[in-house]
Amino acid sequence: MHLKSLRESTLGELSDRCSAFVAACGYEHRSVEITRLVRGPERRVALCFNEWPEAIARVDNQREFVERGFDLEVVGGNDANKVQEIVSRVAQSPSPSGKAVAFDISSMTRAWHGAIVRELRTMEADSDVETFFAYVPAKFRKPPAHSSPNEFVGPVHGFAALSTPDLPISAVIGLGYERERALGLQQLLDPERTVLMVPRGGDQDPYYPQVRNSNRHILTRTQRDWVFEYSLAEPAATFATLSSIVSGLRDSYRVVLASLGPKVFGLLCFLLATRFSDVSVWRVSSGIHGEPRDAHADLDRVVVISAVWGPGPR
Amino acid sequence: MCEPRSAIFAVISDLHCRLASDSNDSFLTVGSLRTPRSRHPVQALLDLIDEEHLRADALLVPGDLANRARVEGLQQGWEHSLEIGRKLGAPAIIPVLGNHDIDSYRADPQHPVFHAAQNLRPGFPFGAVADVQSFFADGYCVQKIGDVDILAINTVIDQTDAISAKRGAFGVDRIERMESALRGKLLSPLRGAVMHHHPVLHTGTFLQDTDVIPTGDVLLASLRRLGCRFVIHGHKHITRLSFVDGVAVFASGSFSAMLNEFGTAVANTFHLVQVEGTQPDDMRGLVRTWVFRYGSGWRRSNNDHAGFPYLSGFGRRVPLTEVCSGLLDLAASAPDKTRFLEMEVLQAVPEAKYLTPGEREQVTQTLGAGDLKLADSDDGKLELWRLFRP
Amino acid sequence: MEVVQTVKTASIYGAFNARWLEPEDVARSFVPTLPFKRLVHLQNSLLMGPRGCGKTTLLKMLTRRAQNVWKGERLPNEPQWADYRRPDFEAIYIPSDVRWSSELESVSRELIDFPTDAERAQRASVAISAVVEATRVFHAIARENELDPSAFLKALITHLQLGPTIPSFPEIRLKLVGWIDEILAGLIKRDTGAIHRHLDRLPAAFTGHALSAVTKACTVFEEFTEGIAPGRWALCFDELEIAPQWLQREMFAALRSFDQKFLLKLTWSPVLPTDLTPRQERQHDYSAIRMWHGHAADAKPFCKEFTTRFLRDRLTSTTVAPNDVFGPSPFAQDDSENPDVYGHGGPAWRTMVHLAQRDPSFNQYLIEHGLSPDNPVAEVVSIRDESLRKVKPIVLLREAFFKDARDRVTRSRSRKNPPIYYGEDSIYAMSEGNPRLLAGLLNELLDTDMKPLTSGSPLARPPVQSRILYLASQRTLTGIKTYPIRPGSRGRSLSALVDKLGRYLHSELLTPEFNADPVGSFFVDEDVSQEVLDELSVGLLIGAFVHVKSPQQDIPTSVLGSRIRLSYMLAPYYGLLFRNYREMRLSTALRISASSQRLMFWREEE
Repeated sequence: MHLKSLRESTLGELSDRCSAFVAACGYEHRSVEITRLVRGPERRVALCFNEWPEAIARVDNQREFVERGFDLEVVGGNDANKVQEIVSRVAQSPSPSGKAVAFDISSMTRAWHGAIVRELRTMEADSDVETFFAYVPAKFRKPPAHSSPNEFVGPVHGFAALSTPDLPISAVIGLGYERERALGLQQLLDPERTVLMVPRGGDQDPYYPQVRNSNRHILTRTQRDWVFEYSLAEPAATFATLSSIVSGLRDSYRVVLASLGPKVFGLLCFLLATRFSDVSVWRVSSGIHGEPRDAHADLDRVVVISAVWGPGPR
Repeated sequence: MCEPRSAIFAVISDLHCRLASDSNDSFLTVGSLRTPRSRHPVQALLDLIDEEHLRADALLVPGDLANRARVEGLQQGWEHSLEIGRKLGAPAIIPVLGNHDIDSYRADPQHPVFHAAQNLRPGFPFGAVADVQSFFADGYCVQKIGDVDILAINTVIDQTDAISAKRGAFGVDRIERMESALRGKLLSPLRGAVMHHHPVLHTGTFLQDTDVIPTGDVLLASLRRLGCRFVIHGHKHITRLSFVDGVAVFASGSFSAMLNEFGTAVANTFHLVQVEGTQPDDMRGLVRTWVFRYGSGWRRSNNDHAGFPYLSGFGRRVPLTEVCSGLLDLAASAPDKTRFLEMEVLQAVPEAKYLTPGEREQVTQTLGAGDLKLADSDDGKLELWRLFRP
Repeated sequence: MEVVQTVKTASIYGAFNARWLEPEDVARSFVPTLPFKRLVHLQNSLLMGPRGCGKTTLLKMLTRRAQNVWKGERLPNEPQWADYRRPDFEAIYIPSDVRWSSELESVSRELIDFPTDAERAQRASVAISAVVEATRVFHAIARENELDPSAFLKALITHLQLGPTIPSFPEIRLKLVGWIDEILAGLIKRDTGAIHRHLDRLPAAFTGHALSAVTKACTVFEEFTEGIAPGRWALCFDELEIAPQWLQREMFAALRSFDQKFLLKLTWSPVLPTDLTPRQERQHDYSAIRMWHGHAADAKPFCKEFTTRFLRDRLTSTTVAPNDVFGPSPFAQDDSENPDVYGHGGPAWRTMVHLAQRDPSFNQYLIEHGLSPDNPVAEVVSIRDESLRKVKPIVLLREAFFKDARDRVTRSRSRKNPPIYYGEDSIYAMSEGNPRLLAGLLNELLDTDMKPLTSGSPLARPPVQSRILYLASQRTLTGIKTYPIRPGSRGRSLSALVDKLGRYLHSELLTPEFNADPVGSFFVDEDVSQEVLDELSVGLLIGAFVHVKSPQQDIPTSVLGSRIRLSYMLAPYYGLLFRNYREMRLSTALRISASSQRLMFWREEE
């Protein structure tokens, strides 16, 4: 399928229009928050991490998912293949209402995000398919005092592209608030053009100064013309902006997208890569070196995206 | 025989100039800073105009200057239009109203729907008072630009509430009155129209549309009878050029709106449309298109990346089959030659320049069977290539 | 939009990364070096060095486009370079980078159950990339000679079995790239059958030996462009150390035996690959050319020339010299001819007198060497060189790292960033002769407000230079910390190793007893663990460590048995000197630093 349109939506619309709902059962408290606000979908699947099965709120979350009628599927955090299989099953299973599929991406890994989008992209369909992506950011907590090392730095499964290296690289990096990740990626990729995307959730966003502080080295060394701020509350506009920026870069660069911050931006990168197959999406992760960190949902800032897919390639 | 006349029209459509506090529907905001230049569509366009020494006889603005009926947006959008027009050296700026330029959703019930548009400032939308009155009362007026008559049509004239605002309209009664009033009055050898809503469904993404003008086909026929051979419209933010019953219908895309629907031609666009001819029936046109990339500014469009070529045309005077056979004959005239330069191509088939993108595709398919290919029109060259089969 | 301070950049030096520069621009900024003299020889070459040391620059300089600028623009105005011979072959530069390498690797992962097809897909991609670059060279030659390339293009389409193709260079490239797009489409759809069928349809030359397709293309060019085709070609493969293993193997095997018409110019990391041996080099299979400098002095001539050109370009001056802008470094080594430095009242004299007053061990050192602590002047040149000049940097460091006059060399917290790292020689040393690092440092230094304190002072004030160089040092360490760790490794092994050794070396310089012969480098002995050896390899690749030249071996054949030191870029951060000094067994240094057997003096933490 190909991406036809993207707009902002609401949990209410998601509840009304979806027949299937896929969430992640992890150790974060925020794992179940969106689920509590969603009614309606008949088919419910929770992807349960096989890592950290007893950490923080994991046990309670799992119990709640069961109580809410979810089918549980145990999946490794990096197991893209299994996620694709599950999505394929869920999205193509017949439904009396024949309606949309929704995903709560808040506690999913970026590898899972990539797997979901990849499956949608390669799925065959006879008519338009609507999907919803819900995301709730975490309430602010200071970043860890010591950042864990970068272990996985490379293209996400299925989003590697394959372009002869005759054009220079442009790295479009969505900044996060953990120190040094962006710098590490930049060091490795050695791009000619670095574009930084700085998330901003409003004037009182506590993450914003932290993001700027944690990335001050790379920010001061990047030309201001290539530093953009985006609003977490307006994913459709962010997507349109990102699309426009990347379209301009593609003429002269091989573009690498990387999201180190809010997961919703990472999702937008995957969605954009379905439109531009020469764009590569990378991830930077600490792998086994990352320690479990809890996250509570900031329910005042829930974001829901509706993405409509059309049959066939573009 | 008359000397051919010509005119160049610049087109900026659907600016959707918004307040910064409103939802992020456009790259253009009221009072926004002009640097970095490559992020401001208007500033970047001014730079492009300088770089490429662009000029136009008039600037057409097919509506939706504002976003969600914001007066400030309308005011700023008009300011930008004037600024761009000045830069192009265009003595005339011809806007029409779009659904976002009027208060059909009654955000300000104290005032009439068209209050802001009618009171924006002297000279808006037209300099002559009579033209303004005709536009708001009858839904049209005529603007003369050199040897070209442009009919500015008000497809939102009957949008008075949320229900009527769902689609453009120009009732049959209005069409008849307009045609009756203008019959015999349009004297320029070249004639066209500008309106906001689309009068026809274009192929592809448009096909599912429910907001096409219901009387679009009647309107188009009427315009044709009046001698109009091109119609430029906005509203749909996807660029399309079709040739419908002898009239070129050009959906000019959007200058600066955020694009959330992804057809093949998805980019913010600016166009220069050059029309030429001695009378309506031999009018032809060439279209040059630039696309805006946030952070990079304006660049020549590209079929591969933007879904619409830099150079396209309309108004060929011969059937498509004749264009194809002309090119095949040219190729056959030198069987060992693999490349025919533009000069040779146009000498053999002068109409090859005036193909819409869709027609170009049809020609490409026909030529393909004969191992021939028209070169990419993205750099403006029209060459014929022959495949080499080892 | 939020405003971020703009980073000023200068012309072609602004983003000095030869990878992204056009060959013409590379030529305009090129400073010839001895490695280049060797590279133009008619033999296979293996350019070895860490990232950023200039390997890509040299390869691009071999190309026609660069050579045209060199001959037409540079040589007429700079006849001093006339003895640098031009290459007697036509170079085809075949680029690579981390993204490309990752993409090729991901093909393996995507087709993990079909390793044969995965390798064929990689081979096709590499072959296509090489042929695409070759067509650019062919096009340039044809244009320069005003040759109608039609016959050649048709021959190329025929012999490379491209199928029906429009005979133009762009169309041929589009055709080839289209083949890669088909592979990608299959990967996206996970349609292994389609990939297999597509690979089967590709001409054999594209899925065979890595050099088949490109050498075939060159041969066709020779046959169909009689008189203008070069007699020899050089295939320049960049970043081979991150290429797929099959490609590495084939390239190294080709060094031993391949068509003599084709030279191979390859780049690699600082340690010789295990597939190659010094014996091969001795047999003239290839010439290994090292691109790094074990000693700071070795890099100086290149750095000086580069900096002079840089400054004149950036400051638009035809006469400015590095010394005008940066002044001498307190660590400058070439002051032996200037007796005033060590003479009574001279700058070194004053420092030594001051330290002798505070440091009893240095006081004792002077006495033991027949010098008065109140007036350490040596009339005899040999004594001055042996006893004063040799220890001057150590004296400066010890003097600078004590906070005030009352500090004694027992327990004291040392200063964070003493302003001793400035001046021409410091900048050169820190850059390690690496053009990218040097350009980066110069750009940052010139982006500051340049106003001399007094007439005759350097334009860039020493305290400002010191701050910039310290930050650069800090950033280098950050780069080391953020470099991806090996999958499965235990935490930040490389940066931990660097930190341990950095602190150890610093402590060597600030021991309670003045030490005129401290440790400054390490011998990688057999007691070093495999984990550390692996980290050292990575460290050598990214420039955290530098191999020090030893009489026994110019090119290290393995990490084990080599002599290494920390990069001088880390000197300001760890408070080190730009000298190698004596070596110590690495395992011993690690053991000592793990225990607390020594008083370690360290700066205040940030």
